[in-house]
Amino acid sequence: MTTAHEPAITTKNLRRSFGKSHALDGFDMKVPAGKVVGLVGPNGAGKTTLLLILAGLLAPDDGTALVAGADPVEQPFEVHRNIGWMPDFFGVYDGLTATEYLDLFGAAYRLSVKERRDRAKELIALVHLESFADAPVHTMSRGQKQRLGFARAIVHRPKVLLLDEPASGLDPRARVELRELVRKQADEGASVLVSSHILSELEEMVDLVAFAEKGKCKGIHPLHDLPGAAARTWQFRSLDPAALEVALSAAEMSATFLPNGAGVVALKDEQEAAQLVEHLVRVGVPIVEVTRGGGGLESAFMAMDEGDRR
Amino acid sequence: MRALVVSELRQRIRGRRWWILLLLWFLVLLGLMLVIQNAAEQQAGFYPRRFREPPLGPSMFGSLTLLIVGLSCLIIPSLTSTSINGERDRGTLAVLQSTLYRPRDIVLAKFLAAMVVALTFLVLTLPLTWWCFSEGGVHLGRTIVVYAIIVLVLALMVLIGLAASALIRKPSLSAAAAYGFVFLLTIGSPILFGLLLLGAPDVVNGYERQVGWRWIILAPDPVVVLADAAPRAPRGPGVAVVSDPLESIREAVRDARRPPEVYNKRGRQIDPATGEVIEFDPFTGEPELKTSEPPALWPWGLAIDVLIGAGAAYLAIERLRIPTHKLATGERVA
Repeated sequence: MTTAHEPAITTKNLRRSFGKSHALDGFDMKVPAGKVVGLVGPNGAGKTTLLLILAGLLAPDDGTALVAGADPVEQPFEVHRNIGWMPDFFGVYDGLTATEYLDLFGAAYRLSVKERRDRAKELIALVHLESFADAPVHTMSRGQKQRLGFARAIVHRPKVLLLDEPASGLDPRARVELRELVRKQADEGASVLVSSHILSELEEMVDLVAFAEKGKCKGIHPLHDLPGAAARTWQFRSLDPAALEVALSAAEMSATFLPNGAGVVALKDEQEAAQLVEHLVRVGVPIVEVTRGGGGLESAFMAMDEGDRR
Repeated sequence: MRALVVSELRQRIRGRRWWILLLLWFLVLLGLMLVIQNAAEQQAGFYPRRFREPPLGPSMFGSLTLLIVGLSCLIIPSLTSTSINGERDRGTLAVLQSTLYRPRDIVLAKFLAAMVVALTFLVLTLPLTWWCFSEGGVHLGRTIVVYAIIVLVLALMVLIGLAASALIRKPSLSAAAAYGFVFLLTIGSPILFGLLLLGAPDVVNGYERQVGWRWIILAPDPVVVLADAAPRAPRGPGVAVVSDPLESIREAVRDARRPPEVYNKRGRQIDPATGEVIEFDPFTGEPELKTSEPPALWPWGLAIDVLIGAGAAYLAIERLRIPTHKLATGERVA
């Protein structure tokens, strides 16, 4: 059993490869109980593989994991009792109504018929699908199906929620709703691990951020204390992209370049930005546009990604 | 568990095509039975008047059971042959596996749901069986055994479909594999038996082939099991039997296990057990001394079929075990 002090999820040296690609390459992570942790990383960083292993569906090649006090390899069904897993891609049974769908999964966790009926009603209200309670699932939009999938994942009030890219493909309004649903679960005591590459999305949802990169965990940080969180990215566009690249590297600035030739640089503050503009103009780079990029998580992510690329 | 079966069934019966298929099934069988009754009537007409008019029941019922098995081969595998990999493709299987449902629950639920549908098809044939009864000559015990065996045959087909859909990733391939296996069992086995027999060494008279062990190829054929296991219809005096296809199949397959005929030095056929000469009735050609009937094939056939079914269920459950260790190329867990 998990106590408040014990981590909800612990992984040690998890490894899993598919053919020649190493999806997980020694993944170590601790997710504290009762927190929402964002799992951030580029596509292919091993996020989905990690969540599959934690959900007891995929066996790692090596390493161990503990989810809500149980080993997902040795006791997958003990893990299932305590987790709700929402995959990045999932289908719903088209022939069923939302109520029947939730009832089926209530039964999957051995809830009684009455419990199932009450819980389905409660969840449908929670995810605002009242108008679909008795309508076939195939008439729902993607966002609505996503909400139904979320309701399905929490039908048995799990201690740990594993959400794989829950916000992908949702419109802004649906994302805000999802964020509120996730926060509500955490407020009620659940631990949540939510993966995403939509960084701005996680910013208002998570307490901590874990960075995944090439199958490894690159640290887990409180959101307000991210390395480089204060920094912002700035985009410099020049008529002469080559000159811009030369000038930036001469100034020892780490920059990434967009397909249109614009350079993206993480800078501490506006002061630094003004200095860089002045410098670039002085060395004769024809600057035509300077834009301020996203902040916080995004630039921290950029900084980490940058460090790795060097 | 019950909820899983119910939801499987709900999804099926809400589709319109199942109702259409049920209707077609009944109409096709009814149409064919009308043709068969007509043929049996014609055949009965050839019998001389001094015999009591032979009842058409056995002939019609035998044909009906063969039609049921034949049409089932076309329909039943499709009930399950894409059920597991189809769910994988639609992304619903992994979600189910992430709950407390065990692999055996998932397989059993799919099996039971498919059986409910299969039995619905079978129940629709009861009015036609009733019709055969009303034509006379059909034995109740025989009917019950035949129906029991058909239920087993349907279960076998359902399980073969389940295993195919669990083991093969692509639904189109698993459907083809399930149908292939069912056809191998029903049509392939007599063909293979025939070919093996052609290559077998011949017995004394240069005409009959030595069957030896080869009858075992024939045994698991569902049609053979059905025909061989059905208790023989009683033949009252004066009741000539209009050809009953089940009886004919039974005679043919039992022949496969008939020991080679033994002749004495004077060229007369003798009973190998007693050494007595067998006399033949000059009119019917039937031996006057009752020769013992060759042993049945169906216990062996049924045992093999049960093993195939159990093996199929085992493989399907094994394939759903979590956590998954090996993934086929291109396969996703979710």
